[in-house]
Amino acid sequence: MKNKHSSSDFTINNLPHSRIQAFFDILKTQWRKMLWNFLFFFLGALPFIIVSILNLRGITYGFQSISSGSANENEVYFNMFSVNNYSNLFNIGSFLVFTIVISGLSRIYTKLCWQKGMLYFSDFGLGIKQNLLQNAFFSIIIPIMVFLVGMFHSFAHFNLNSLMPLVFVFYGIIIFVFLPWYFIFTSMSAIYEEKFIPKLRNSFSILIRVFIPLGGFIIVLVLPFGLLFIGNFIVNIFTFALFFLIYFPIWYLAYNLYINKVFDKYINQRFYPEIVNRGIWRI
Amino acid sequence: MAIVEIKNLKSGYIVNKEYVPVFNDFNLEIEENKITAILGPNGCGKTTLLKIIAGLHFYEEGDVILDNKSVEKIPIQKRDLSYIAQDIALFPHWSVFENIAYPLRSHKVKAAEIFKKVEDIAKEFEIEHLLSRNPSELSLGQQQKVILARAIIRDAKLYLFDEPFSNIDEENKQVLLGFLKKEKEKRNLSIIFVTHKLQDIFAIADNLVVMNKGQNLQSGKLDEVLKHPNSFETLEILKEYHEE
Repeated sequence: MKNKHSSSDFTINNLPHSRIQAFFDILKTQWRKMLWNFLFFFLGALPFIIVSILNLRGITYGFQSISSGSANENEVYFNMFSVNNYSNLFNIGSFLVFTIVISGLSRIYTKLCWQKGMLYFSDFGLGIKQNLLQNAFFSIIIPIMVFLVGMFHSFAHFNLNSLMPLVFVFYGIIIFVFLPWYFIFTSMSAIYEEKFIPKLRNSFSILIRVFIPLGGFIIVLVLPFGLLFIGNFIVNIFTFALFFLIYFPIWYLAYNLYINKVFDKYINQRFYPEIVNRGIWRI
Repeated sequence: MAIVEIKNLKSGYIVNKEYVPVFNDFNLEIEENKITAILGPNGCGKTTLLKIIAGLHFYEEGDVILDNKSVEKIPIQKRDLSYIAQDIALFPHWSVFENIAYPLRSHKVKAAEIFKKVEDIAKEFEIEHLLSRNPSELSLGQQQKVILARAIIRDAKLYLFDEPFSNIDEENKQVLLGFLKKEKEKRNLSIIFVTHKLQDIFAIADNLVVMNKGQNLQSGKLDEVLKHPNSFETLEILKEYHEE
């Protein structure tokens, strides 16, 4: 058996010199590992996908009943909010499942970005073992906040419509503050051995410093969910499925490359100079 | 002290339903913590000898003793040795890291220890920047470095090299021989190295065994064998390979 080989030595000149080059290099050369990432993200998000699709089905059906005049509007809204609140309650468990997967995969993605060798399943397991306990904080806080905002939303709808703008503010805080904070925290867990409170504080400090560019990443992340407004059940299924199967894992790679740059600037240059620009070979 | 002792070995091959003898009353001792080169013409039994030690070929009579134990008492998978042939390749769908880690994984070494050992040996072989790459991206010389790193990482009691660098260019081969010698000195390895190039032997061997037609013509310290060949046949073989 003979291996295919290159006609010349693979040198440092052949390695990525920028994070953009690293992004395409990883997609091109580590596609086998990315396929596993696609699968694990999809499986990790499956409970969330199922609950969300059923919830959307209920909402879509509700709106159809209202527009066709076949049901009492208040009763339909009441049922829709009830279904939505039950879904948010189920999603506490769904988010925990997703956090288990992201705890493992954040270690994988860090090693991909650093161009380090890995044993995929051993690293995945080690990531969960080392990081899940701390990451679990967000996996409880965020869905509970979503549930509470959902309850507030139904209260505002039925009792005090003037409070409705606040609902969007609260959802905005979850999406643009807590979600990126969660991602930063899980990325830090994969790299730094820190106690929980200092890590929480440091990750929030990072969030404040890169709020606007990270906000851009979050907008890119949630963009595909615009397709859900089409209101077609099949489109909803494909949107959720393809989002977690392909879109999110690739987005997460780009995000990890970016956040490593941020960590280099605000943490590593001062405290861990040996890992600055790891995975990038600047000529 | 001998890491391998071979006594009165008799072995052969079945070719077209006929038995073709290779060894008949073959004797040899391989010294521990040394590189022993085996030199001889094609078909003299060099590869067969390594395969017998590794358990990849049968023998009818005699004793093969590995580290003071008869190989008949040691199942093949439990023999603490590493066998590297010239046609050995890397797993093409695994990264360099996974290829080097393979022997440790198959011996159920813990992940944390694997990470450390692979990174250490990659540093020694100057291939750290290649760990996440695929074998097809590497040159032939770099692939052979990875194969060598994969062989050495196990810290086996005995290494059997069957012309492992025969299909790479001279410059890369000398680099690899240099790495092999450095590793041998660092880790006190016992190596049996089959070759038909005298230059390779000069580069790294401590001891030399000259074989022909299944016979051990002469064995001993390299200098001793080269300066004092014990027969005309030995001298002819040394001359033939010196001129190549």
